[in-house]
Order: sequence, then structure tokens, then C-alpha cells
Amino acid sequence: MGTTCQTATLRNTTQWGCDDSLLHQELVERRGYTGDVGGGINLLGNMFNYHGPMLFLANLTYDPATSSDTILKSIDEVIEPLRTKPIDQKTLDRAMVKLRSGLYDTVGAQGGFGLVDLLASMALFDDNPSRVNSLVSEFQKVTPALLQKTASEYLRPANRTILLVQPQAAPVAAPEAPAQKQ
Amino acid sequence: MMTRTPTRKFLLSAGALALAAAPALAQAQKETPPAGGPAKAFTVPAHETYALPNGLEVTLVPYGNIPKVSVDLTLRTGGVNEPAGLRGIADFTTDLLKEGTTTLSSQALAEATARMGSSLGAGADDDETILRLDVLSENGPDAVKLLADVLQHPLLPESELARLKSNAVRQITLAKSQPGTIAAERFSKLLYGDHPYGSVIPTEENINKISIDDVRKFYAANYGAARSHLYIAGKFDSAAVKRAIAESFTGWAKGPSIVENAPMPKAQRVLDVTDRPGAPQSTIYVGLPVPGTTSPDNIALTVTNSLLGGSFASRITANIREQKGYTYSPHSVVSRRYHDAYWAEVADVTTAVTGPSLKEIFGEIGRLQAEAPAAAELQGIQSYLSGIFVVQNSTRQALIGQLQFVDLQGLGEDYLKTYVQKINAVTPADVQRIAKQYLKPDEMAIVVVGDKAKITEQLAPFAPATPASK
Repeated sequence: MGTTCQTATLRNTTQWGCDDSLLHQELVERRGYTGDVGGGINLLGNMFNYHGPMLFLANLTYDPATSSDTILKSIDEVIEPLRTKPIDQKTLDRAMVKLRSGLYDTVGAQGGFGLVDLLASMALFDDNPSRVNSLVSEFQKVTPALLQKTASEYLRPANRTILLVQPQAAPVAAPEAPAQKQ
Repeated sequence: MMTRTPTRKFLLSAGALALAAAPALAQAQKETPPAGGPAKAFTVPAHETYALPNGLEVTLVPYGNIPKVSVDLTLRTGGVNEPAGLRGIADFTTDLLKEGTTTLSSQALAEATARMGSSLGAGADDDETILRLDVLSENGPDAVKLLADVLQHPLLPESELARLKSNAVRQITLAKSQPGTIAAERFSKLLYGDHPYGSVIPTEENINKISIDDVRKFYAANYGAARSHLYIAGKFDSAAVKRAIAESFTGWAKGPSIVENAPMPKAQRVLDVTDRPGAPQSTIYVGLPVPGTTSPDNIALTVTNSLLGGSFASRITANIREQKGYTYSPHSVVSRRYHDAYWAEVADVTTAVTGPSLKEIFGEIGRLQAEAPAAAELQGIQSYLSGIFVVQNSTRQALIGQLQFVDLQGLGEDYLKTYVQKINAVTPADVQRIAKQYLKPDEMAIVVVGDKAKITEQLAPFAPATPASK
């Protein structure tokens, strides 16, 4: 869970869903390449209910006039400083507030099922559902130095996969598919 | 709008669990589940509503135990107030509101909201514009003040216009590539013509035409205290929040009165096909205008819709999804705009069964018109609607959504208090009458987006007797 705390804090610092995040400020506000940077950790659930290796991703839609290299260069200009120097305390403090706010939303989601899901996850992974009560204090232990170490370890360019979905030059007929039934 | 429902992901997970348990259950004798208890009424939490001298309405709803508070400012302006040729300007204006105030840059504004645990949400639909901050409880008063600043002292900077237009045009391009959007656009156009309700997305030309003067004029003509309502729900210090409201909103100019722009929807059988060569599925809209929310038949119409196509247990879904396997996620809706509504069945069906899908949809409408539903079937739908109403309204934002809805429609809070009771008072004969009175197949518009080469022949039986002009 230590690593989960660090990467989750990193996620709140860098990207998506928050207008003050570093990727939003760079790609949306300064460069105007996109209107929104989406993504997160554990898109099949939330950043509190997993245990073990997990995908950390960002996604955005940009215009054909911009090259993918340009986008990646901008992303690198956000990520690389996180790996090489400690982030300022004010930025980290904001990330912590957003994280706490997000946790409360998760707890209250789906008419109470959010809390039930967290209790179940922590019972499963930690044999300790009451850990839900100490999540906030665990996150508060994250320091700028620890965040830098986490970014340096996990946000290595060699670790990342880049997927590009591009429009085709001309429409190609898709094969007829039967309706799926579940 | 903004009502929380279980996510598709959640439903799929629940389905997967049910599937995993199936072999064990199959071995046991199937038992009838115990009957549910009588439907419980929905109780609107105690709340306080008052108005400032400038006309701003305020509603405070202490609710729940999550240490967060939602601060929503609802303005009675939206697509209905857009000048001709400037479709999209209501929503575009909200994009510019996020670009800072006369004393806060856009970055400073973003950081200020982040320090409260939120981002500023802002958007406009056809009837309303909503600005929202959903913050940690201790930041409730500051959120009120920040929202007041954004509304009263927006920078509306010309420097950001080109970038925001690019964003809007990109979204439009993406939306127009989706058959669902194309079908919704065609359906709206057929029913509402040139009225703002007649379009679900603006055109690129509309967006590119918007100047900063247009935005400033729209803001001046449509923003003000007299057509606004501030809703605050969650856990918060009521006295401190009220002080913040008085300090920061009392000086807001009363502004212009509400400008109504009622549509005159058209009911006529039209078959409207948009070609999508190679499409593996056809996207279908079938529907017509129905009485709005203030009609005495509103609740009975809600129940009828849920039984016919609006719930997972509904007849059309059971038919074209469960029995025939034509489609994965068919559903019918009753729209809920200001004093206006349409009913529509919407489905993405396999291309080869486009015609048969329509035949079944009309078949189910006809069956309900010919024979009242069995009491047990209706009761199942009523239990579903009663239960889901209580569950769906168990968050601070959903409560705000319901209060916004009754205020917009002028229904009064009795609507919420008596909803469950009225749902359960609908009889099988009522449902049959509603189907006969309002869901007239001859007056339904049929919109299909699909591969014309493969569906034209299938659709021929559904063309109007006398082709309508387009």
C-alpha cells in the first residue's frame, strides 16, 4: 500500500480531472493541444481498491495538425522534472487535498456501495477492513522526496507504452458482427 | 441531468458475479424470492430556502455524513436563449468563465479550487447553466465566495478564445463521428425544427463565428441574480455559509428576467435514414412529442415508459435483447426539458435485423395499447421505480439535482414527497390508456443511421403513407 499511496499522490499531482494538475496546465492551458487530459490509476475500479501492479495512464485527443512527437515532448517536459527534483510543498499540499476529497467521493459513491467496496477490498488484501480509517494518514506521510523517488522509479520512459488511435485515410467496411448477448 | 446511476462497469461486475454463481444455483431448487415490503415514501431532508433582495434564491440542505459540500449555482439560461446562428454560445460562455476573474488568473483560479478539493465544473444545457464546486466541508464558505467572484467578475479573456474554439470544434468533430449523436441530431431536428431544442450539438461554423463581444453580450443579457438559484447540500457550517452568501452575492446585480422560448414540437410519421456505409449496426430512434412534466399524466407516463422500454425488465428490452438478441442496450426515455417532453425508444441493432427490430418495437407498443398489463408485471415496475428513486437520491448532488428539477419545472416539493405514492397508484388501465392516448405509431418519427445498401429494403414497410417533405 505504501507504493499505492505514492503513485496515487503522483496521479493527483500530475494529471486528469483537475484544472490545476501539471499535465492539464501544460497541454491544455499553455499549449492548447487538447481540451482535457483524462486517465488515472486502475480504471477498472479506483485508486484505493487494488493491490499489486497496476496501469497508470493518461489519455487525450489532439488535432491532426499536431504530431504525436510534439505531444510526447510536452508530456516529458512535465514528467521529467518530477523525476529529477523534488516538487514544491504547495503543489504537494494541493494534491493531498484533492486526494482526500476524492477518497470521500469514493466512500460515498453509489449510495453507500463505495464504502462497502473499500471495506471488502481491504478485508481481501489486508485482512483489515478498518484500514479505511487510516488511508488519509498514510497519504499524509508522502513527502516531496518520496514523490520524486516514486516518479523516478515508475515513470521511466522505458516502462511506458504509447498507443495511438488515428483516423484512417478512407473508411473501410467493418465485418458484420452478431449482437452480443450477456 | 447529473443524476447518478450505477455505472455500466458496476452493472457488468454484478452480472459477472451472478454468472459465476449460476452453476451452484442451478443445482439447488429455484426459490421464489420473498415479497418485498410496501414501498417507502421518499423523504426530502429538512432544508431552508430564502431569497436575497436581488432575487437570488438560496436553498441549504444539510445532508449525509461525508465531509463534503456541493455548491451549485443554477442559472435559468441555456440553449433556448442563444441568438440564431450562435448555437453553442451558452456552453461556450461557461468555458470562458473558467478562464479567470478580474482578480484571479485561470491558473490561480484552478489552484484555488484545488486547495478546496475540487475543480470548477461549468456547463450549459438547453434550459439551464450550472456552475459547481464540490469541496471539503471546511471550505464551504470559501467555495461560495469563489463562485460569486466567477459569476460577477469574469475576465472573459479574448486571448483564450481561439484555444477554446479549437477544443469545442474537436469535441464536435468527435461527436459527429458517433452514430448515436447523428441519430439524436436528426431526431431532434424532425421534432423541433429550427428551435434550439432541434439540435444536440452546435456546428463548427457556429462556434467559429462566436466573437468575444458575442460572449460578453450573452453574459450581459442572461446572467444575473434574478434568474439564479444557489443550492448547497452536504455537511457544512450553516451560519458561516449563510454569512458568505450574504457577503458575496448581495451585490450581484438583479440582471435580466427569465426569457422563455417554448418549442412547438411536431408529431408526424417520418422515416429518416442517414447512410453509414459498412456499419455493422443500425442506430434507431423511434418517438414523438408527449405531454411535459406538469401534465397530470406525467407520473402515469413515467410508469408506462418504464414498463414498455425504460427499464431492464421492460417489454421491448425483454423482446429485442433477451429473446431475439438483436441488440445489447435498448432503452426508451421520456425527455425532461422545460415544460416539454418526447418519448423515444433508442437502440443499436445488428444491421441485418434493422427492420425486424422496428417491427418488434411497434409490436410491443401495439400489444400494450390492446391489453392492459397484468397487475404483477406493473407491480414489479412500480417497485423498481419506487426503490430506485430512493437509492438514486441518496447523495448530496442527486438531491440538488431533484430540487433543481422541481424548481425548473415549477412542480413544488410535493412532487418529490408524493412521487413514490403516485407511482404506486397507477393502475393497469392507466398504463393502457397512456399507451393509446400518447404513443401513437402513426405520429412517430423513425430515425435510422446505418448502411443504406443493406437496410433500405428492410425499412420500406415503415415509410409514411404519404412521404413527408424533409
